Amino acid sequence: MENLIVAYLMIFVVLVGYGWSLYQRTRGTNQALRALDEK
Amino acid sequence: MSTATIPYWKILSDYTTRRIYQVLLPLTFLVIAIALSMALWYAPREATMGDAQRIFYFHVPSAWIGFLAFFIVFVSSVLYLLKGDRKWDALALSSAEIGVVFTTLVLLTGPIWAKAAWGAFWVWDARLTTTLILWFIYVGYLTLRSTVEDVRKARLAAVLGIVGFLDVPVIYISVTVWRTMHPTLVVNEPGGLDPAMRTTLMVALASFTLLYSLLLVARLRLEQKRDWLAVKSAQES
Repeated sequence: MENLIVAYLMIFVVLVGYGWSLYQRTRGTNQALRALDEK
Repeated sequence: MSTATIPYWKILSDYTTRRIYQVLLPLTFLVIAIALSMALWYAPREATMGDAQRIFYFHVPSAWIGFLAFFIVFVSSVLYLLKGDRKWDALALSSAEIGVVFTTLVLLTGPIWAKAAWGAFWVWDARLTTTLILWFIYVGYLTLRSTVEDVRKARLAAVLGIVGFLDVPVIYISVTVWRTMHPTLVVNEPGGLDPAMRTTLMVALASFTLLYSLLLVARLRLEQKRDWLAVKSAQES
C-alpha cells in the first residue's frame, strides 16, 4: 500500500508542479505585456 | 523571431481559449477524479502484486500520453521543416515539454512498481533503458530550446524532435524483440486484462488525454504570448 501512496503522491506533485510553473510563466508574460501596454 | 502573424493559432484567441478552459478544466478534473476512484476501489486487487499493481492505471496512460506528445512533436517538426511556419515550431516545443513531464511520471512510477514486483527499483532492461534514452533525447531538445532563440536553432531542434521519435517504436517492440522483465500489456485477448481493470485503464487514459489537451492549450498560448511580447518589445525599442 505504501508503494501505491508514494507513486500517486509523485504523480500529484509532478503534475501540480508543472501546472504551477506554467501558471507562473503565463502570469509573468501577461504582466510584461501589460507593462508594455501601459508604457 | 520569425513570427508572421500573431496569434498564429487562431483557435487560441482570448475568447476561444477562455471557452476551452471553461469546458476542459472541470471535465478534466472530473474524469481524473473518476479514474482515481476506479483505480482505488472499482478495479479488483491483483493476486500476486496486491495494491502496488494499481500504479499501473496511471503508469501506462503516462507512457501512452508521452508517446502521443512526442508523435505531435514529430509531425509538427516535419511540418515546420517543410513550411517554415513558426506555429508548427511552437506546437512541437509545447508538446515536447508536456511529453517530458509524462515520461518523467513513467520513470518515477515504474521503479516503485518494479520494486514491489521484481524486488529492484531499476534493471537495465530493454524497455526501461530505451524509455530513459527517450527522456534524455527530449530533455536535450528542451535544453537546446531554452537557450537564445533563432531560426537555425529551431530547425536543429526540429531535426532532433524527428530523430528522437524513432525511439518510440523501438520502445514499443522492445518487449517482443529482446528478452525483458517488463510485462507486455494484453488487453483484448483471452487470459488478458480483467474487464474491470480494462475499463479503469481506459478511463485513466481518457483522463490523461484530457489533461494533455488542457496543458497543450495552456503551453501553446504561453508560447504565443511570448512571441507577442518579443514583437512588441522590438517595436518599442
